[in-house]
Amino acid sequence: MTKQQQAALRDDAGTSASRNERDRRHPWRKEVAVVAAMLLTLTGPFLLKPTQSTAPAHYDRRLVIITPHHDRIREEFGQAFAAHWKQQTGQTLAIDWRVPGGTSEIAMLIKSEATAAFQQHWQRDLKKSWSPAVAQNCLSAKAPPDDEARAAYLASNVGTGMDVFFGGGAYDFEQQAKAGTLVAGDGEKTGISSLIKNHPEWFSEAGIPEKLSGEPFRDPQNRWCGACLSSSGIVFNRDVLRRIGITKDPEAWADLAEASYFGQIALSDPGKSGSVTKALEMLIQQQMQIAIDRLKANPPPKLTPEQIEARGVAEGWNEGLRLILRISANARYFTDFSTKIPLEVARGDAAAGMCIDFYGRSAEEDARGADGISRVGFITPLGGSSVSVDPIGLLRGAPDPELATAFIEFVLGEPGQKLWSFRAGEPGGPRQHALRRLPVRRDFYTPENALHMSDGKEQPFEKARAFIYHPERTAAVFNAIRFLVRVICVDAHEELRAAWREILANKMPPRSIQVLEDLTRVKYEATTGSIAKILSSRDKTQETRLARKLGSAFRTQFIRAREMAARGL
Amino acid sequence: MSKTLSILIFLVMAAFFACFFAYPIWAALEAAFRGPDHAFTFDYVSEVFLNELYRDGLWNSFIIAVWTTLGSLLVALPLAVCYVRFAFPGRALLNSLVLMPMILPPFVGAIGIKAMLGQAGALNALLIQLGLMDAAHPADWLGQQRLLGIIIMEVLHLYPIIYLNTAAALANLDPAMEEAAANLGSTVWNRFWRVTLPLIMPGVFAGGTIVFVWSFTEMGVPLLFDYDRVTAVQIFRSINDLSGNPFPYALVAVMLAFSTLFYLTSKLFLGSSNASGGGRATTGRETISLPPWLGWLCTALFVGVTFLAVLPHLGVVLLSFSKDWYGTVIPHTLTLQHYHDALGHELTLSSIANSLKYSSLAMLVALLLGIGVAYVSVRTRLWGRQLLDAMAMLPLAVPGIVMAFGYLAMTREGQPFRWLMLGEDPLLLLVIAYAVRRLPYVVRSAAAGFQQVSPTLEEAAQNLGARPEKALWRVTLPLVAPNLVAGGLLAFSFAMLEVSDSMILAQQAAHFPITKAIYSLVLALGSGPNLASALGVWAMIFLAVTILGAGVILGKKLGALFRG
Repeated sequence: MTKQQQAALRDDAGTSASRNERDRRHPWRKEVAVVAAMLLTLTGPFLLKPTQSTAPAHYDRRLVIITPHHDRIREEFGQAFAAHWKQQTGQTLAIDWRVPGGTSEIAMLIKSEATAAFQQHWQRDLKKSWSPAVAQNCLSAKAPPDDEARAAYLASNVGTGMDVFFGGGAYDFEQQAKAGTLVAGDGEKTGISSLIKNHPEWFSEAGIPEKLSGEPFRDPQNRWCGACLSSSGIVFNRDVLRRIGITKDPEAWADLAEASYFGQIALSDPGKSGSVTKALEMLIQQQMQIAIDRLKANPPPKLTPEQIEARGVAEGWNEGLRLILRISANARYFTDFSTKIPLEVARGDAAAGMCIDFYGRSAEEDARGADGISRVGFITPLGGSSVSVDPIGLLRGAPDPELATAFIEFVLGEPGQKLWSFRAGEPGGPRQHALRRLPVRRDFYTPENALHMSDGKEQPFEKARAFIYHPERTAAVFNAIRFLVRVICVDAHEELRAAWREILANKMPPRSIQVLEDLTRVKYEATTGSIAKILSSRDKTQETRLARKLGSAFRTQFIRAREMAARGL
Repeated sequence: MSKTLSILIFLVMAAFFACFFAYPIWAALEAAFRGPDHAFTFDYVSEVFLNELYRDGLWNSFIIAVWTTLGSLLVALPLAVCYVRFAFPGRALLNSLVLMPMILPPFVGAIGIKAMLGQAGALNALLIQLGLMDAAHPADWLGQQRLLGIIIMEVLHLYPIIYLNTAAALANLDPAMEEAAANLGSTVWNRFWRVTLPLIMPGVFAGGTIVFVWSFTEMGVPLLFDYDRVTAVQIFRSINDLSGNPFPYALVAVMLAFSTLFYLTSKLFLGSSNASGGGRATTGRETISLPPWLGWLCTALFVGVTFLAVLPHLGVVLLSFSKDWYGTVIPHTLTLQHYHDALGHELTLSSIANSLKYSSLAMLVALLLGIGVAYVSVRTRLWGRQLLDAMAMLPLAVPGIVMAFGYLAMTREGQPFRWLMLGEDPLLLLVIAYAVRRLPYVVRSAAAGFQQVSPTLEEAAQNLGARPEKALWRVTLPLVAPNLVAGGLLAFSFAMLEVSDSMILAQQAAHFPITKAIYSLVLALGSGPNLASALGVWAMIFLAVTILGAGVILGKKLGALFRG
């Protein structure tokens, strides 16, 4: 503090003497007034607090669910199941939702919790010494088959403190099942294996098939099972479309690559969202199918069907990436949360975006005016999107496996399927908001149920036939999709967008487009070869170096395309 | 106070800082310098500099910080001069409203701005209605110039810090200096540049450094513009790799090094310009009554700037009442439903309770520490007291996210401070994090109080037989109580708005503070942003009551809290 400031403060002490005098007559009057005003603002939330809580202070049993499902789903399922359980057993339930973020955070959390618990078990119960190798092998499906730690983990009932994993993609559940963190139960009282015994009709072709159009719907070993359906599509704002001169609603992924959409597409970072990666995978799969069909219709000489398939896959990969590049060039920006996309579109800040079906349908419903017309629309591109599931599964070492099983039964049974799909306020339906999700059980799609459903006209099981998912075609590149889109499209978005703008401004000069779309560095062979190898090695230094080199190569390429376009080349 | 007690306090404070300030920073950064084989390495840090993206990020952060600081100066200086020098209509009210931009709850502010400036937002609707814009080609204010948008937003958010500092420095300035210059024939402008400005430089620099470091490490605003070429956002986005990726830590190390460098550089400037300061004010300053039109001009300036600065607030308030606000200047259907839903949301009450719990405990801890540090540095001549004082100010220079990473790293499984997690409850961790981050406000206000109350009062009590501790407790502390109340309230309200620590340290819904509840509401489907706005409005009202309360209790001394 400077001398002047000290001097001023001393002066202040003098002038405040009269104020102190006043205060002495009414001690703490101002303080009391301030505290009273603070308390007044606090009364609002207290008066409005929910009467029915799923996390009561006193409860008989607790169910811990880890989930990426959004707020509305948690609220509806939590309250309905707690009420159901109370009615059945008279017990008060506390439902403890663990929402660490998206599916990647969930995977991290489950892994760290399970490893920590296993370490305790290994050292305390088995009296063995902990080593990095043990830590690495216990949860790894790639561990040697005779590995002691792996065997010990699979034989154990080591838990994560959580009961149920609810929601995410089938991919995430397959990974967890392989790691051994999900279990089938004892076949009598717990787990999906016991449900099969009690409700064999649910787990049949007429109920939940094991696979549909190539998409896995449940685990053959019963460690997880689909709970509702999901597919990805395009959400769009008709006002904005008309304004930018597009007269028809988008119908296919490729529409989003049209030049007229420049600056009006909302995308999210696939590194942050499993659903976006899934949508991009569908887009690539569609291009692979188109390429294979084209080759089959006009088969090149001396090629076996296998070679045609392989060539189609490689060509489709390139074409798919090119489309993604174009769509990214049209993008306003990449948000970090896929839920933001329907919001941005509904608000008119973007014309269209990729999102998962129920986000899109909810946005449409939320923007619907009194006349029943909504400016927001949602479509699933025919032949460009598979129908997949959001599963549920029992975690190894669940603290209350019976309660967990009861919850899984509730979700897969009539009450849960109604909650997913019925309109808000219908008997058995959600209380506050329609969840707009499609039931996973085929036998649920009866004309009678359709009357109560928000989307009763949807025929997902029929629609699914239009698109056959071939997991083997993108299996080798699934991780690479995420990585490459981040490096080429997200990280280099500034340069990509600037180049595309220049190209559009100069009436699309072909050579600059060629430079912009040059994807030789990430051809199918390279991606399944050296790139996939580095990504699967989990060596972060190498991965970052690769990202830097690829990223800077593509940025340079985009800058060159921009310069060429400026010269009209 | 006895010397033993002073030394004891000093040691306790030093130990606390070592454990909860220096150690977490080291814990966060250690990973950046350890290779796979645990050997010391610069690989990761050099990778940061090799990568053009990260270089761009640093450069953009720097640009944002420079322009934000300059912009804030440009906005704040004229306002401060007007306030201190002139009498104009609404002066007192407008001065107390200056703090309003600072209590904008995080996240919803940017949504408010988007509702105002979006393609189908209020501004475009207004321009179209006035016939100034073609309805077929509305401007995309936010999509085109994101860097500019971020800077404007941060200027409007942070200028009050410079305003408060400058106004305080101006008020403390000895008018005799300027009068002397005027007597010697200096013109008004000359006087301002040659006399006034150099004399208030310490205040300007103090505010400027805080704004600079704040905007250099700011993550909330760029995040909502979805602008990811800024270091803080790059760090935030790589958080998924927390498990084993050392690169976020390397980025953090680089960012900390730069922040400290900038802070020290400006501190150097601050120190050198100190020497020219005048002594005690010899005459009182009288505010100049302006001719009516000039007076109203001052009012208009204040009102204009404040209006721009509270545009996000206005957007948030309107959003919180609107059903579907789209393409109109103000929402056409108003509803109270969002308040009902937001305040009645399952997350809300518990998060408010959590925030109150974390923030008030943090306030108590900060008060305890602040009093200790201030007492040692003002009333004792112990060696190292200046170091302690500087340490207490440093949290301003350290990015919140660095500290959050550090606390996380030091409480991992197997780490010595694991017990702080209380199982899964981050209560202690958050309280300590909040307390350390908000300590500077408390230390400054307590130090101001101790300087203001003459030590002779305490000495008199001791002469009459009171033990030193009792003299402190019964005489000095009651006298500085108003300062402590104000400092504590400020620490409390900023802790309520804390983002970085809350985002990273509170993982379970049951432990969410209100900022994370707002964040998760923002992401909810459908009316999410409206609900978040309603909760944000509630938080604004609560904090406005808190800060205005501090102002009522403490009067104009509030400005002194921000002096560096």
